[in-house]
Amino acid sequence: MSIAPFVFTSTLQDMLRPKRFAIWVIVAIAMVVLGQVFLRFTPTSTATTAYSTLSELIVFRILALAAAIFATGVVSQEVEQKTIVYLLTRPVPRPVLILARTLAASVTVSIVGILAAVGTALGTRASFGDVFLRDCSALILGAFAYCALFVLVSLLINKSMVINLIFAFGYEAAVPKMPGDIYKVSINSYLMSIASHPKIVPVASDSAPVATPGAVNTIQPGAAWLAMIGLVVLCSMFNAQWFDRNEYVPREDGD
Amino acid sequence: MIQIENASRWFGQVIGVNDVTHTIEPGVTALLGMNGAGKSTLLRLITGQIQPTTGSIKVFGNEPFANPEVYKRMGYCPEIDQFYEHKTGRQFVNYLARLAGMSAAEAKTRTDEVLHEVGMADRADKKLAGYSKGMRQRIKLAQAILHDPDIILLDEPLNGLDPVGRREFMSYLHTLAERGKTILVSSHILFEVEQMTKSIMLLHRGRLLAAGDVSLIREYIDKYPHRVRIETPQPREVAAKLIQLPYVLKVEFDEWRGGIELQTRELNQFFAFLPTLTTEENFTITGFSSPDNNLESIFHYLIE
Repeated sequence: MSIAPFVFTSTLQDMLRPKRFAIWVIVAIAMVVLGQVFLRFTPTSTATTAYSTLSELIVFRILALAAAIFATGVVSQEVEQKTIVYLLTRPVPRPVLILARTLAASVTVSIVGILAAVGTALGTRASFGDVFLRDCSALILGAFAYCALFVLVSLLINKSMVINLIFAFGYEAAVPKMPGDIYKVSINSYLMSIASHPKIVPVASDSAPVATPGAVNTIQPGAAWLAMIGLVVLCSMFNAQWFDRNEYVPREDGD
Repeated sequence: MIQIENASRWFGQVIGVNDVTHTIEPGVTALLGMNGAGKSTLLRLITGQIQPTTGSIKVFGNEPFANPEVYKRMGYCPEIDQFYEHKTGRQFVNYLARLAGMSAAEAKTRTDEVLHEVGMADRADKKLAGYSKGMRQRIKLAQAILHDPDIILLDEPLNGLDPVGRREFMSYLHTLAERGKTILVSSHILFEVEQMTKSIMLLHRGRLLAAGDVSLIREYIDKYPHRVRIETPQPREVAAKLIQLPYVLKVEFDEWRGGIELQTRELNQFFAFLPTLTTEENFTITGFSSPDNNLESIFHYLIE
């Protein structure tokens, strides 16, 4: 029997254990409250526009944050906590170990993202219709893309959490808003293309915002899917090869 | 079992293991050296966590680095004291049993057995975070032997064990050796090592200074004559007789404890002569010992 399912399920159980996951449930509940506050302060917003706004501004940031944290737990945290030695001296092929653990992190981050989206939909009283479902698919793909990329960073750089957080909050927030085509080198731009949130255009101060299809982001959803799947596959292949050939040893005081 | 050939390992400008060549056979072998001597680096090389910069290391004829086939037959008890603290001892061992390829049922059975063997069966359901150092050492030993490996590598396994625990551990180690296991135990405490085995590998600053049986190594150290202590109520008479022997270099009286202490370069010849002191010369000899034929003396002689 392959060891991969056990590595995946045990890692998933560890990442979803109540003490570790409770904070993300609290975040989802906070999104419910935030959705209601948002509606209160923007009474002209429709449920869909309120949901879309909060999803773009916060839910996809939560996704990147969760990915930075859980992807670091795949290898980097094991090295820092010195428990990597127990994993690397077992008869488990290293590529299996890292791919199964990355998959578990991606599933966990997907759950975090969808929970936050559910909280936002409940708070803004948006329907669980097309916009929500497109968001879910973008969140799942985003979870896999961010995790694959952040695991790669953690394999190459010590203390990778800081780099990943800067990427999640600095790069991913700023680059999609930059002029020209530079937004195309941001994961978030592709996820927004897949999510295809209605664009909010204020037409007059005393009238409700009008929802129109996205305009600035010219990436087609089909191309976005391909690009993200390509990123996940390439990063995962690189991660498996790199982890199989390089040393991951905790520092010890004695020797 | 384990073949090390001209293995060196550099960490940047620092050398961890320097041109070590040795073959480790079944039985207990002690890896001895001061802190920083390269013991843990050598164990990491053998366990395939790191690769030699030059030379080679083979375990069962295979290179151990990231090699699952080697890990199926190897158990490793690391020096580090870190665990998944939120797990209980039983969950931790069971988790590693599953990673060793056992089915859920096999892992449960084997976990129970091995926890019993290391004396943790009744305390294994507490969280690891609440374990004493000794309990953690036992759990580390349990995870090292749970898949019944042919090679067991133990990095400073006696740290934190109480005297009873140490005695039990050493007894268990000999049981494993009698089953034909190859056991490599690192330690910097000579007293511990002497009680475990006579077969040593002595590392100093990354180099293998000596390897083999303690008494044989002592014989090769020609620079220092062997010391022999003789307990007798007639120290002056015995000393006068012994100093005439060509291979006895020096005789001293031990005024504190009585008796005499002599130095010789021909230990075997001297011990062959010793019975004649009583049978032909009628001296009373109540005891004799070789105070520098121990690990501590050898250790100090070799690193001086």
